[in-house]
Amino acid sequence: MRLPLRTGLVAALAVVVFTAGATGVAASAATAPVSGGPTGSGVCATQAVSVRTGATVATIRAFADCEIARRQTTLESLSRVVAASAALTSSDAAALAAKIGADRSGLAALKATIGRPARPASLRVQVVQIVSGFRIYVLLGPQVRLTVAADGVVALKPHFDGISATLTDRIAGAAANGKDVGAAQADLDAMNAAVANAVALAGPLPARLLALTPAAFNSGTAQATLKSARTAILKARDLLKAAAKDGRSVLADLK
Amino acid sequence: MKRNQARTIACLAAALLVCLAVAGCGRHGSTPQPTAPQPSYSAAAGGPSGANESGSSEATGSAPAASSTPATAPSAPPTPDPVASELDQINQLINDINNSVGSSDSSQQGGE
Repeated sequence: MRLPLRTGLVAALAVVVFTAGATGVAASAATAPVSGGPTGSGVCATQAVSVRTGATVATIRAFADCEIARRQTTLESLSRVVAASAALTSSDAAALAAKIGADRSGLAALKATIGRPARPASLRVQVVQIVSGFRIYVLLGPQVRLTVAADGVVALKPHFDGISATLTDRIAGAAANGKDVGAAQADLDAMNAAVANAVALAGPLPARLLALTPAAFNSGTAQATLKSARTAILKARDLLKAAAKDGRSVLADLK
Repeated sequence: MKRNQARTIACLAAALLVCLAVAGCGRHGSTPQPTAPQPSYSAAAGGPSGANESGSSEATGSAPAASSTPATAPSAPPTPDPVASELDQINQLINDINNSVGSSDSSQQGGE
């Protein structure tokens, strides 16, 4: 009597533990970064091998269809990023949405072209266009992410401005009560300066980023802009961190 | 014999209920329960005169209330400074910026 009951309990608990463990694994897998977009750069590996071992119209077309589908999935993901971003200005969001929409249409048109009767040699030229004509992963993806980040830096300015006004009032009140506010004022000045520098770094970036095209990437000029934008945003991020720290220092100074 | 079977069934049912309760507790615990308002750029646009301004009024209002409560009553947790709360929110928004830059890096690795 007791043995079956114990066995049943152990079995039931095992099911619960297994389910919890599997859920945890699934959750961690969902949040893991995937190289080459949401479907991964290796998703078309089988089709690529088929093309290498026997380049026929069928194998090239299958590879092209897979690569286009992979990019369409990535474009959907980027659309969601743009739609969900609270930091993007409406004009930058519209510009990014237009770029994404144009690439989706362009890839659909290219897929139709590749589907028409052709020889393997001409198909190969069209397949190259999937990469060089759009640059989804090395250009559009970074354009979206970096523009979101740059607008995010600028969007924090009103927040800091409000904090600055509040802290200015508190410093004035403390000074009126005879407190030495020299350190607090210096920290507040440092906060304001850091925010101004961060905004000056990030403010011009969206226009530069949105102006980049696949042709600019293919000619090698876009890479420098992407790199400098990333560097500027990281510097702006550090300045904002320092500004937040200065704001806390003001609070500590006034205690 | 029938009594033994009934007892066995009852025990198994009880064990199943325990397991379901354990699983239910685990699920509830894994659900994120925000303890503070989530930061957003729309809140940022409001600045200190927006949502956090109410926090400021709560802070000023709680002081006399606390002094009027009996000494034996459990003391309420101190209301955080609204500026400190905003700075916390800013730190989370800075983390969002960091994540965006990080995503732009990972999307470049071997994607094409």
